[in-house]
Amino acid sequence: MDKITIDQNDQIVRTGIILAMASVIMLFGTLLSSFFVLKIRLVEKLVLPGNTFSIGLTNSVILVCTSISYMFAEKMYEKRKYSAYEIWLLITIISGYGFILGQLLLWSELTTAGIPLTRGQLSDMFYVISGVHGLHILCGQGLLLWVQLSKNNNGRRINNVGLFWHFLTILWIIMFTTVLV
Amino acid sequence: MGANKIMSSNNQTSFISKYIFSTDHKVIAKQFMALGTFFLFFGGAMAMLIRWQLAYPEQKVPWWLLGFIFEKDGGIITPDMYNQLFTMHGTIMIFWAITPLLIGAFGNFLIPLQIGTHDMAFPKLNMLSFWTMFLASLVLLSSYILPNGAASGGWTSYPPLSSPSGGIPGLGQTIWTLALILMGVSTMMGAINYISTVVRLRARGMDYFKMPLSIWGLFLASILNSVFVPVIAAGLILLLLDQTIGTEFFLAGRLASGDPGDPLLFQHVFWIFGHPEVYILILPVWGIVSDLLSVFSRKPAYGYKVTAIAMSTVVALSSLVWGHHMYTTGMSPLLGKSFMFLTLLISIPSSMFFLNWLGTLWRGSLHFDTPMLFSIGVIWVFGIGGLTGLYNATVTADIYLHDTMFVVGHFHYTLAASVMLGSFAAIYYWFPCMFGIKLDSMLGKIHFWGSFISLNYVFFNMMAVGYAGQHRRIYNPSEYSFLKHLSGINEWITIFSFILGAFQALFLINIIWSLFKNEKSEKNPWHATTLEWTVEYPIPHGNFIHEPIVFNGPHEYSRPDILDRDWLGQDEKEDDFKHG
Amino acid sequence: MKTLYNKIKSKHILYSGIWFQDLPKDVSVDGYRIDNVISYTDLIISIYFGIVVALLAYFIYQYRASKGHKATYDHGDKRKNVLVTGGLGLLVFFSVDVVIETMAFKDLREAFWNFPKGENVVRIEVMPQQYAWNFCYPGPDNEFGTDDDIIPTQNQMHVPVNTPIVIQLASWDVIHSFYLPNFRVKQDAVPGMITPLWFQAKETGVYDIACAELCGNGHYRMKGYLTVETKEDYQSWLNENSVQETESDEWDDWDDEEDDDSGVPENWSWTWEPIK
Repeated sequence: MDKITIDQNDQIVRTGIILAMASVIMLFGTLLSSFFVLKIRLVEKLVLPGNTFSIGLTNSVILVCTSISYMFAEKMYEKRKYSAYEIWLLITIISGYGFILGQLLLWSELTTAGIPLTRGQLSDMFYVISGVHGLHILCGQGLLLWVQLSKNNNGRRINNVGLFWHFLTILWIIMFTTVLV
Repeated sequence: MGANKIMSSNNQTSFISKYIFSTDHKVIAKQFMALGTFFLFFGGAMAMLIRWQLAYPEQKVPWWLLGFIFEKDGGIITPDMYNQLFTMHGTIMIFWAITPLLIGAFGNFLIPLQIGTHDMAFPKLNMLSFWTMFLASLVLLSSYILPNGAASGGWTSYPPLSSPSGGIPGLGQTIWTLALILMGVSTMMGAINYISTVVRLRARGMDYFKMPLSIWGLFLASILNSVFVPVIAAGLILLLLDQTIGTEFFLAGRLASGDPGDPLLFQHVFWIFGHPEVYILILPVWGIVSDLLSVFSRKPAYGYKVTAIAMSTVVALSSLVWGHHMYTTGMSPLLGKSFMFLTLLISIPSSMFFLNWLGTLWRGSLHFDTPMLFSIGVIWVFGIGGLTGLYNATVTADIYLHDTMFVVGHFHYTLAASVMLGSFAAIYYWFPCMFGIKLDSMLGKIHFWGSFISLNYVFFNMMAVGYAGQHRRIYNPSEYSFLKHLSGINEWITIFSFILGAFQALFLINIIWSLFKNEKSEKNPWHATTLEWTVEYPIPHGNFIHEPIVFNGPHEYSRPDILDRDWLGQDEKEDDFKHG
Repeated sequence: MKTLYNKIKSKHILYSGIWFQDLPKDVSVDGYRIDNVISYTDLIISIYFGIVVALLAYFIYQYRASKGHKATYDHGDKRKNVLVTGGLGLLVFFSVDVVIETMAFKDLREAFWNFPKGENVVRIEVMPQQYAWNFCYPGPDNEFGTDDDIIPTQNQMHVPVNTPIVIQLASWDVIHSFYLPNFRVKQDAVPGMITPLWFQAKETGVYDIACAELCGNGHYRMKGYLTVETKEDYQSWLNENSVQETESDEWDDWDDEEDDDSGVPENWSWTWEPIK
């Protein structure tokens, strides 16, 4: 059977990632819709008290920075500046862990501020949404590691993983702003 | 990456990599088939037990119905056991029998072969999908060894009943939720794989409207899967949290200790998935039957394009009609009317492709091989099933019929009967392709007639008792004076369901005996045009030596300009056959 | 053998409809609407399915290969074929779907969603629990939540004949469904919601109440009895039951879990929700 070329293969992978994105959108869409149904029923607003809001905001900024640093990594790879690429990639991965740690910090601060899990419907949903998103970020971290460890790829893989990573960033920004409105 | 390696050489040589952790879609297909068949019989046995209780309430279960299981309760089925039986019967049949058989097995086997490519787009993901399903199966089965047994809240698992405060003791319900989430992950992986394969790997010349309708069915089912399984996954995650850590997303009223949640939210999320799910289950059958009727009428599938577009329209509409499962929940009148209208709209495309089935038979040259018998059987049972949907779509009629055996009869006609007959059609038809052997024809035909007659009796009368008012999921109908007169007919339904079960033994015997006889089938025994028949059994890893080039549609039968043969393969040049 | 013969002999012959079974006796004023739409659907789908079966039989006979018939190479994709198929699809739609939709919308507007108002309407609060039916009548002051509310024995519901009965449903625990087969009534009782429904009986008698939503292991035995009686008998029944009025308003027995019929406090009710 004739070989599939590398470019064709990456096109196939890109299709797969786009489909995966569609599924993830439906997953978070359902969680967000459920949030709104409960919010309308309870006639309440989700409030992040004390410093929890600033922690959340900081985490969001960190996540956006990871996307930016990844974009730089992609640019550097295109320009064949491989050592710069490695650095930007490393920054992305470390900041990614920073985001996760930040989210865990957010949760613990929320709990000490009197809003632990199972305290109320809207805050519970916030935990679930940020938790499920965090799990996806962990998968994304796995993909980033895979990119870092793989030699001899042609940049297409970097772009494909980037697609997923940027998607998770945008998803978080949308969800974080929407639940607080 | 992976795709390059597969083509270059057959690198799967050890037993483990060839048969256990294989990435070959044909092996994975057979793995899904084995899993699906196991659970089909497991779920079927449960159906027999449910019917025993309905016919002979609180009488000792006989030895040949595995009566020993109930020894600790004095040999009878208890109400709790009964609830577990119908819950697990529904869950297993839908997610562990039909989905693995039609979508896991036939999806995997047919898609790469019929579109003319070497394997799925993501072979490793394919393998992962099967083993995730296997893990989900272990999780589900583990609930049987729990002290309080398996889930018993219905396959719909409505909270608050399915939450701890709903009164069902034990962890069975929680394990059920976990197993379903895993199953959903497996399905999502499969859906992404199938769609990517159909979109990206079709052979040269294989346009969308040259694909066999079986692929259309599987493709559309995968689209629905990828869009709606995440929805139920979200709902199940929230339910799992309610069941484990004490959140109250779906609790309200007295049972909610904090902020009230919304039980109906679960129903909406469930049915937004649940309604497309039933189309997911039937779409492969619609496609397969359309193709098989063409093969055995030696005539092109009538109105191919219309059928493909009609199936797609039904898919689109199916996402908008979920409320018809919830008419009695007290939704706003406007919502009820909208759902009714949209549900009824589905009649139009459904009628059209149904008529196209008849159009295929019309003026054909009908060969009544076993797959053809089963396909015509599908026309019959889907006709009844589809038409009886009309009652349930009507808000007022549904006030009376909701949660009665009428609904059970309706969905068994459309799901169990159509899917069962469709699956058998597919298995008898593609057996030579998958295993190199034709199943015995006489046994197959007896299997058909026995199954067809008995299942019609069973499910028609189920609708009859529902019409008379018998409601669902009740342990002992004779408790109610308005149902007392139905005990006779309930008994007859049970007797015929035992007969139906017994005839499935013939199917197993056929398989075992044919494999034992090992009479090799000729290549392309049905003289079909599609690409899976262009390769000799055993089909090698990578399927085709050279990528096929497609010139014709999938139903070029009885072309008057083709001499000597009444069929033209998809990859054959017509000029080669027009000599003279 | 003899039992088999007797079984066949006792089978009901076709009475009505196409299902060889009767609908339960309908003693409600509006139930006939549901029966009519069901009968119409019965009729029309038997005609259409009959045509399909006839066609199938004809094709199987006429076009069998053993007869030597050669297939006609026709893709059925010409314009006129599509128009015929589409036309037939629309025919089915207009002859069945549109008709039953019109009937249903009319019935919903005129009857089921058209709640009666006025002096002689009897209001009852119904609260199912695992596994029994609780009823609350407003008593002589016609207000819920007052001392003269009447809570009869569980599972015993009485209504006067020829009087509109408006019910509000709420659930004590999980989702149940209030099902009156002889009145064509069915409505889910969802915890956290109060759902209204109404009906009117035109014949006296004792009828079944059943639960039509799986609610646990006792779902099958959530049987109630609805007694429809003359206004006088109804009034005397009310009087009998109001004598058993209890004095305590305490809710301290609501977590009493001795048997599954306890748990509901002795005096329960909710403020009647106004119905549009």
